[in-house]
Amino acid sequence: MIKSGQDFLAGLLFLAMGVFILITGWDLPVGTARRMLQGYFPSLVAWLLCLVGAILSVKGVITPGAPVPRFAIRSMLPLIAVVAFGLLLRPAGLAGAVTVLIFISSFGLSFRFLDALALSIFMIIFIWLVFVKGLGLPLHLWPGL
Amino acid sequence: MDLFNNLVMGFSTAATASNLMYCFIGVTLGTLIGVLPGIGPSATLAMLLPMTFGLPATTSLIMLAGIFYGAQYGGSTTAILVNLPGEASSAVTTLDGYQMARQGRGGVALGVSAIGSFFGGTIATIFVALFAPFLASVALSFGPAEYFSLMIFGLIGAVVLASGSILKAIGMILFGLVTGLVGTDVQTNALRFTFGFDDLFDGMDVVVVAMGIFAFSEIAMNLDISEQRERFLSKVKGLYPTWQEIKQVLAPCTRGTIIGTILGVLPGGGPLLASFSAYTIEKKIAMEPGRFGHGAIEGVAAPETANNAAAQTSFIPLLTLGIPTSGAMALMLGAMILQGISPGPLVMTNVPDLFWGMIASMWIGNGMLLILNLPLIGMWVKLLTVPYRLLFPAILAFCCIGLISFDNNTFDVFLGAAFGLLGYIMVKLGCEPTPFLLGFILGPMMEENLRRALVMSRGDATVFFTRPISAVFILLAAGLLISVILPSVQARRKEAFSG
Repeated sequence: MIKSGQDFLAGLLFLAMGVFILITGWDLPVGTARRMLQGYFPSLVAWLLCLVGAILSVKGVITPGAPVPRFAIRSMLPLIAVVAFGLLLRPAGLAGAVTVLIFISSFGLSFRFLDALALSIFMIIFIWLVFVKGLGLPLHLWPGL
Repeated sequence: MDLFNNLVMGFSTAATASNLMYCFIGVTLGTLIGVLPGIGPSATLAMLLPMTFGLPATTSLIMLAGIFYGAQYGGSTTAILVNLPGEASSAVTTLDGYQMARQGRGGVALGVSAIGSFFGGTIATIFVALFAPFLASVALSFGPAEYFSLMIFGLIGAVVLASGSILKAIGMILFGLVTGLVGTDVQTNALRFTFGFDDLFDGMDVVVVAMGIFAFSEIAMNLDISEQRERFLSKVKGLYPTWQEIKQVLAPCTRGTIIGTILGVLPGGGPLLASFSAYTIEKKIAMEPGRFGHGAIEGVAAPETANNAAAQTSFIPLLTLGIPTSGAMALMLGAMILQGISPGPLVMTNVPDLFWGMIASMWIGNGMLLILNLPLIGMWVKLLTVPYRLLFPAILAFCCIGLISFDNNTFDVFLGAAFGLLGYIMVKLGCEPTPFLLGFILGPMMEENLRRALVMSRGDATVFFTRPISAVFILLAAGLLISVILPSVQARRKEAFSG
């Protein structure tokens, strides 16, 4: 039985990362200690990462600790909102992208339509005043303008 | 009188109208964002860093330093008033600060925290001015082998002195080191780990990474905690402590300053370790330790003084060795590089006005904080009454604008979101993001120094042990690592970090 799901999972993740680096960096020439090439340092670190990952996952099996954490779907909403912002920035302009960002992320915590709408309008005005007029950043509030 | 002349130069740099103004803006914005619950100094710096790009190097660093102190202080305000520490370094302040607020003495707690911070900051600034030139002159003799060993020592120190699992922190450092290598290798011009993305040719920007693993993942974490915390926001009044209270905190503040000043210089020490140690010591030597945790004023004064003193002296390794010891310092280092300054012992001789200007501005910034915070406290309190469901979408929007204000590149937005996801998963798995960022920023530097050291020694790896200064760093690192594995130290470490 696994005594600490959290440690075990963290260890597996490090191990996977180390293996991933070793595989994707396989074609990078390593060189010698005297003349290190681009693959030397990454593979050194990747092997160490595998080692740490292996020790940590074994530790997770034999010593008691925190269980596997619960991941909340709701916590993904801010990140989804950020991705949506990135996707919409060109086609919908900053104003549209910010509005969608606020609406999606607002679902994360007691969503109220009017609040989200008011916040969007407030943010667009604020961005226009501070970032566009004040700081002079080259941002496009509306698409194609 | 060298020091005197240097300080005069520093103050004349820092006290120009535009530098004073940006210092003021920095301190104010830093406090404004830092006050927001769940946003620590590192996340604040990442959010506001893009705003400083257009400024001249010295001005932008002065503003960033101001943001850093402001965020630090804003975090304490939130810790005291709503029991929500922004970053681990103000966690200990919640213990007695929040209790004081519940007893209606929140104003005094804030006042003492501001005055103590100024006191600690002043002494620490003098220490920086005295000690930094000495360290820089020592560091001038360092070769690549010494630097490589120093970075090992710094990273191990950061792991050992920080809270949490050591093994996980080492994993995070290694993970960060590789992530820092993404892009074009300076030596061979070869592309590494770019996976066909043109946008990764120049590597990833430290601001994007920090925005993801600090700001985005903190917001994601905050949504995890479903239950609303008790918010106790009465009217804050009576900021000024009585004469009796001042006498009571004088000794704790002095001890806090000494502890903070010393621990701030150590890798990984910084504000976090300083505030915890100061609190633990006060509790140990108190006549009635039972008062602690129930609104003891010393329990606010000592850690607040210590963490500000440490925040100040943590600039020493950054400015003299070019080695960051905390997440916030890693971002400062990133900002220096973006401004075209190569960090290291030469900063002091090459750009003395920047170096001394920054030191002088530390003191000015602390003074501004004191003047700014006491009258404006009412405004910060109002900000705390804004519900989180309105705050976090706005914070997200500002972060996104920060990300595109670089060069209007949406790739940075997606990259930030990816690091947000990574940060969230790692924090859930009990891995702290700070070692990752330290590794990220030190990755290319470590590789470079390892390469050069081995070229010079003709591939002989024993060079790290045969050069005396390098050997000392390696031994120190090994000693630290062995000492924490010992069960007795492990138990004490647990005790220290549980407050």
